[in-house]
Amino acid sequence: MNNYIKFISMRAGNNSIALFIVMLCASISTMAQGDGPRFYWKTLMGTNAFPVIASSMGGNSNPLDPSHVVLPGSDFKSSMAMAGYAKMLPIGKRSGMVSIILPMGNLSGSATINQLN
Amino acid sequence: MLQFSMNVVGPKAIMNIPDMLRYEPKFSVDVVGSLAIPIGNYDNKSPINIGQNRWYGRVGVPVIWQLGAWVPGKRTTLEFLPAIWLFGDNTDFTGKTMSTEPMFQLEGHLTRDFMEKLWGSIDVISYSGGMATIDGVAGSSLNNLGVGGTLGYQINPNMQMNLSYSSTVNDKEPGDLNIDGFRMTLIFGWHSLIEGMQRLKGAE
Repeated sequence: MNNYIKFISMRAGNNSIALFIVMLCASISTMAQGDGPRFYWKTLMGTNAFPVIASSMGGNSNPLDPSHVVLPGSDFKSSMAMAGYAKMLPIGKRSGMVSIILPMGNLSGSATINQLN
Repeated sequence: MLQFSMNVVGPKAIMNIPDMLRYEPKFSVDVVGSLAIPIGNYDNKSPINIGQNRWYGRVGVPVIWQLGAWVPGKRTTLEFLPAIWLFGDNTDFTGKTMSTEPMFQLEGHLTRDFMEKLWGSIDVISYSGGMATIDGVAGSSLNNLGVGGTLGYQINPNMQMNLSYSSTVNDKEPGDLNIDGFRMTLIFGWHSLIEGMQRLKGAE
């Protein structure tokens, strides 16, 4: 077994193995900034990941509404935290991933919509 | 939000350590489906809420294109995610009904390892369509572009940190989408096989 571990370490290095684990769910958010880079890189089936995301956003659209409805004249600020869980699972011979993300946080700002402030 | 993705073109599932050592994305294509369930707090007096009071989701086709050799510290990828978002009606948007047409989103990333533990990415995202109608009053469709960047760093064998910034660029008109944001992501990951291997290596 030790020889096997030495072989693996020689081939890949400690860091690169670990890197494959934590690449999963690099940015699970699917809100205004998209999924992000390296999100769909694959790792060992059965890997678990807990992402915690903190974001600060502003603009004229609710940053948590993926339809990005523009409310002209509005100015929103948000401080958000999101927590999630993801697991890599094989589906036949292919890679699969299931994940859940729960947003929580604070939204503030001003807007006028149809005379409603 | 619930999400499910599955690879359809590219390397087979990584089932063990030798598979992991052999992994290279080359050209891989996935399908992804997301669904947001209308639960949680919703204030019908406010136009901004964390909850959206409606079902919505998307279908997308993530693509990874490996550029060059797959060597830690030198990995480079070009990545795309075309997706279409579909929205149910919000029947209590400040007392009104908001309907939203399907929205098309295209994400692109050029990523590159700077060192074995540090990588970066140039990010582009575009939105089009998604015209919202509030009680019969139609808004305008989106046609916007956002750019940004991401830095990722491996803190320890189980933890990774990513920092990213993005901002819309064609946002001069009052009706244009104007949004920018900063995001920090910490990911803790583990797998019993890897943990066991690290334990054995430590005891060596």
